Amino acid sequence: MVPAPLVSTGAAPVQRGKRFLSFSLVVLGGVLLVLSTQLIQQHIQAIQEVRETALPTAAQLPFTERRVKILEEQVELSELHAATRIGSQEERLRAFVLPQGENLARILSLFDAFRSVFEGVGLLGMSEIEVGNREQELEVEGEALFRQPISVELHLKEEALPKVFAVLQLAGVLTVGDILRPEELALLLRNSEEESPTGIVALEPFLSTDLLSYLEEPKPFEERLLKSFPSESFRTAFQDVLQSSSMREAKELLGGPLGGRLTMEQLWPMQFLAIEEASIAERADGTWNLGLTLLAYSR
Amino acid sequence: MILVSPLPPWAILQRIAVPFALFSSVLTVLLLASTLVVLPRFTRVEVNDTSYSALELQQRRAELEAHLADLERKRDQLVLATNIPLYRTVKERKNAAAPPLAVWSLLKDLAKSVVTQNDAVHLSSLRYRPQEQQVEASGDVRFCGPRSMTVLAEFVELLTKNERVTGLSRPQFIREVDSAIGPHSPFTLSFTLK
Repeated sequence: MVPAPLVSTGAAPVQRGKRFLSFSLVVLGGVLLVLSTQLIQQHIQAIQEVRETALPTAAQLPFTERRVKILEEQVELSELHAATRIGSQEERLRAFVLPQGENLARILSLFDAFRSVFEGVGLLGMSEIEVGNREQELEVEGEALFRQPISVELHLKEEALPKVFAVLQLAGVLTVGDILRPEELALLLRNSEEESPTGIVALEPFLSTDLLSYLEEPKPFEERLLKSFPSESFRTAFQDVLQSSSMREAKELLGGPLGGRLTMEQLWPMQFLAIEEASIAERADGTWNLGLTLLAYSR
Repeated sequence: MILVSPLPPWAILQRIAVPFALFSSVLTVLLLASTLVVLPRFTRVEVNDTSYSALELQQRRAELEAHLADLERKRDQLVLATNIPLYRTVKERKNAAAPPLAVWSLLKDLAKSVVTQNDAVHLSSLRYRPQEQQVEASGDVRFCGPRSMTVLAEFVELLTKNERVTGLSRPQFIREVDSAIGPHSPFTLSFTLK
């Protein structure tokens, strides 16, 4: 009889079980420690997020909310006035700027007016005018847009070149708002928001004013607008916009004989013209040849 | 003399297992509790009597900005009496293109900035299609003797480096002799404006 081996064989599994338990605890501890590291990282990220994004956003949010309220008020006011105001200018736009069908007689009269006005200020000659076929270019919200190429060559002095391009830029402009560049319009609107949200009611009629009527007698229109915006900041912004290159060019051209001629021959507003191709070449005598292919747009 | 026999690794493991597991679990539980309860409470920001988390703030800002852009668009349409879609489309397209004289000035300015000789590049003509922003310019490099091709190469390099110029087709580099202007390098180059 040998009992000893029985004792030794019973201790080994217990020892193995203890070792397994210890090993499992260490593994569990390791896993939890990794999880803790990730949770600490999450804390750091949350604090960083608050400091770097949430606090600046929170500081900005009340201003944005205030601006939304002002704009909602302005939109509401504009909608109230839109129905009565927009009709007439939109009708003129559809009748003259983007007319229905071909309006060749009016375009050729326009070239005649250009010729007679610019002959005294640097236009030395004008070729025959070639008119191409009218074709559809695109469709916007169910309405088709047609274009008709018109080619002409001009012989002119250097100082007349900018005038010709400025006139072409004005072909298609109807109101004061149309001559302003998007950033100029944004400047006026932003200032109107800051000063008096309800002042948009006064700004709208100003922007909808016929450009030629405004340039003939600007003071009454400007005074009416500035009554609604008496602050210095709005006045400064307004003066900046009036001094912009596009407005100055329009004043120079339409405030002179061209404006008078367009009014007299009822050619204002001009049909929408865009340059398809311009060829500028200097001649040996220092004068210039300007070849233009224009696109006259219609509906 | 006391002899200390080194502990086998499993014995060390056995001794540290329980404290290590306990420490890790307590730490995890505390951090989990902090993440779920403490952190959200202390990282909230109050704006106009409303409390927001960082994520909610971002969402609120994005929401407000989208609404603001929508209102601005609506107001801009209402404030302009001529804001009908067809007219707006052609007007935006016309205004987006650089005016022909601005293109001419760009070329003249680049010609003047040629270091070798700033009055040697002579531009004689320009063909420009505003809608496609395609430019074709011709001229010649003159009054700089046998260096005309070098000056032309510098002019072409200036055009290539200009941020508004893309797709430049290089001209042929030749030197010709004209009875009136002497040796000169005529060129025609075309490119698209960005």
